[in-house]
Amino acid sequence: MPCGSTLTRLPTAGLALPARVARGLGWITWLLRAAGGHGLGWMLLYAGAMVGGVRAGTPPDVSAVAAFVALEEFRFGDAATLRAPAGDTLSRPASLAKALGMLNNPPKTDSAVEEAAGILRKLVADDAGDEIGGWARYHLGRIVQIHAGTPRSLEAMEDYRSLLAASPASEPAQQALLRLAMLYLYEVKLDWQPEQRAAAAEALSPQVTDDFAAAYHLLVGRGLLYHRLDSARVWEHLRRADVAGIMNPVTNRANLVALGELARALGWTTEAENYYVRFLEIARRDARSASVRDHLEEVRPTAQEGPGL
Amino acid sequence: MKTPYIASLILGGIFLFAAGRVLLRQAPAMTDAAPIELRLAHYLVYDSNREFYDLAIAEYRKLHPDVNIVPIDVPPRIWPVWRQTRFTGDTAPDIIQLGRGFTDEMAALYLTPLSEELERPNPYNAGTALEGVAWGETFVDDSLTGENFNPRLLEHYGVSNYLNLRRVYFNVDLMREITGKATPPRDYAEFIAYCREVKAWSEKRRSPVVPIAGSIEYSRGLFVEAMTQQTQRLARRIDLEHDLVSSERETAMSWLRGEWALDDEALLPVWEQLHEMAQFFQPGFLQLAREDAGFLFKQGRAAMIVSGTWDANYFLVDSDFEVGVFVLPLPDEHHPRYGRNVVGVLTERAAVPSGALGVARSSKHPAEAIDFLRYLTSLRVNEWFAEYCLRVPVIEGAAPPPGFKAFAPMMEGYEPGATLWFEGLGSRSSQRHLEANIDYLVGPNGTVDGFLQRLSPHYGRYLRQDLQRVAATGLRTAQRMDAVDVALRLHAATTPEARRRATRLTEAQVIQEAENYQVLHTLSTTQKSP
Repeated sequence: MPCGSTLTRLPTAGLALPARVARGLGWITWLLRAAGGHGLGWMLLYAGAMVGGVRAGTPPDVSAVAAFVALEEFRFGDAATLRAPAGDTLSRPASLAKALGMLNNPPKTDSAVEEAAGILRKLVADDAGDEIGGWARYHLGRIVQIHAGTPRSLEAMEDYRSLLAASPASEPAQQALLRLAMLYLYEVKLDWQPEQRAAAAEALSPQVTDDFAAAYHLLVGRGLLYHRLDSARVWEHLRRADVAGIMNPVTNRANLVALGELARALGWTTEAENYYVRFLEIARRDARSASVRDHLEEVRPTAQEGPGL
Repeated sequence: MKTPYIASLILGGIFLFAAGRVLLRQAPAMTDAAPIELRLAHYLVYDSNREFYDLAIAEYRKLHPDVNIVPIDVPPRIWPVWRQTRFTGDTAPDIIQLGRGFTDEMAALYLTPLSEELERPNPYNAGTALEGVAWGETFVDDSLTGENFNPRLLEHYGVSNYLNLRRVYFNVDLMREITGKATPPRDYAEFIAYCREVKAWSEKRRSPVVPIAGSIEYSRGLFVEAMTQQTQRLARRIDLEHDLVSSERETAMSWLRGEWALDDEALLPVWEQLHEMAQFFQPGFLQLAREDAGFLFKQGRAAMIVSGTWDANYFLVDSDFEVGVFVLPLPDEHHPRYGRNVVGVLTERAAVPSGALGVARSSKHPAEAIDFLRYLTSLRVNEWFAEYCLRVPVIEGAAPPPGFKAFAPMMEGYEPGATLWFEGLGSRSSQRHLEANIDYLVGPNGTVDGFLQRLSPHYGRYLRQDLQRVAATGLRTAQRMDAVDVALRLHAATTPEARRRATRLTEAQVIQEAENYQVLHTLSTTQKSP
């Protein structure tokens, strides 16, 4: 009795609920978890989901919820050993969670990786068009890229390109795009010059969605820095990452300093001043403050326009 | 069409019932005559720390009669094993000290994330300048460094109550006897001059007094600090990301890429300075433990000891002589011999908080445990802690212990440069190689040339070993975080905050994975480097 496969977010996957109700259930789930309701609370939650699910005509996906919570908490073994009730099969989300658990549950063996890959391949074969199918395709790429005993990065790149072509704006495709750019920039099996690497990674830019823009531009900007490519080009990527909104405060500070330093080296003193000032505004107790202040004093008297902010 | 709505109603009702049961289940404990008992485990085994916890717990109980906190102090040497046993046996204390090899996996598996709590004001700061300020922002580092914040998991798991700063303790009576005054050295020249005076004075006596009591740990700390000031310009030269931070990974990769060498002009003054300072330690100091060095100083057989604020209680209390404290003066940018690669003295503006305490995921009373941490890290209690335990407070605006001006962090100065004591790099092979040969530099017959001749031939091999370990660890992290990322996106991302967390996690994961690829690329493309 497989679950419905086209719904998006757990824990309501499998239940055809209006978005508002689904959100409400999400909050209640969160409240229960925050209240430490591991025992009775969870049982009742599951019981409620069961009753509601049966009445709604689609069974609930209790095991997937538990498996995803286990993955969030690094309890890979719990996800890996997920079993469907007798006579039943695991839902698509639960199968995905089980495969991810198997990939990380020690001791890691080739047979466990192969079994996980088999689950993912089945998810793709059954219905590659839904979100779970997308994630399965993405993780098949990840298996050959980072889980296989001998990484087969070129094969992974093919998987990522194909996923990206199929549904470019989906989350799994965006994750694939980031890994593709990463491999273009650094994979040693690609006998490419730095400029070729940069161009290939930059060619992916039009397909990046807003949610992934900061990560993408940070990745490419830093890749160009690693390969000692043109500072102005690096600066533009870091600027776009800044505009997209870097969420990690530590990375954000580092990016502001890098934008200031690169602009100063390029003679774009107005831009350098802007980023130095922004850094000093947010970094009250940062060891770099004195250097940034010195550099700010250096650029202030010679404010010279660069490409703009 | 109505069926889903009926199901939703049933679901909602049962959810509310379940929530009510959970609350009701906890409610009796809150009002029960029997107090809630929390266990707090730590490895701060100094008497002052133990006493302070007892006092703070007693004060807290006056505010919350239902909560009793039982401190458990565990010797630092057995702490990692003790902690692991507790975690795996599901008998972890409610509140537990972090640090000492606390891994990402431990944090994710066993600790309660505190990020959301840190966004709310600390109620125990009411009536102070920090009233209404988010709890996380009341810490001098905005809770973004050290053991408190895990940059890979992008979660806060702990709160600290002190900073550790390196300081020199000196025997005031001895200084008075030798020099006729008790004024600590103001700069490196005066520091070395005093060391020479002690040495010359000691040679005329039967029972020798060494200028500096040393041990492998204390001297390592001193050497690292000297090195990171001397390499400030080198660090800017090899700063791959242009962010004025030179990580161990960047420093190691840049060596393989041929951007600096062990006999680099930017490094020679470092070796010379370490050689100069080492002649003032007692013979064989590299084989001694910190307790041995501390004992030598307490016995009055050393004029100074380069330690830190963490040892204040040991050195300042119960010594048979007057003990003073000063900030270690290192050569600044004007020093004629050692100043050419220095940007400026090292700042302590970003000193990293220590002694973080977290809340176990298995705690039956996480709310009460977190509340106690709020109390412990409130402005007034942190000042009280600093004064009682002679520590440097970590809360913004909290005063250092009265009478200890030298305990105030040095806010002026510049960021540290690079270190070659790669304490966090891979398998630490290159650090062990450095320490196995450091005697050729700082030993009685040590020279810079002799040291470099020993260090250089195998340096690349050990550095490669370390970077290979970095890559292997990074790969494992990437594999695991992949699963966490998907789980967050598919399960938890029903709220905007959870979606933000998933995006943040992807951002961090991509950067870390790219850094890993940089290591692999460097290892692969520099196979012919020395």
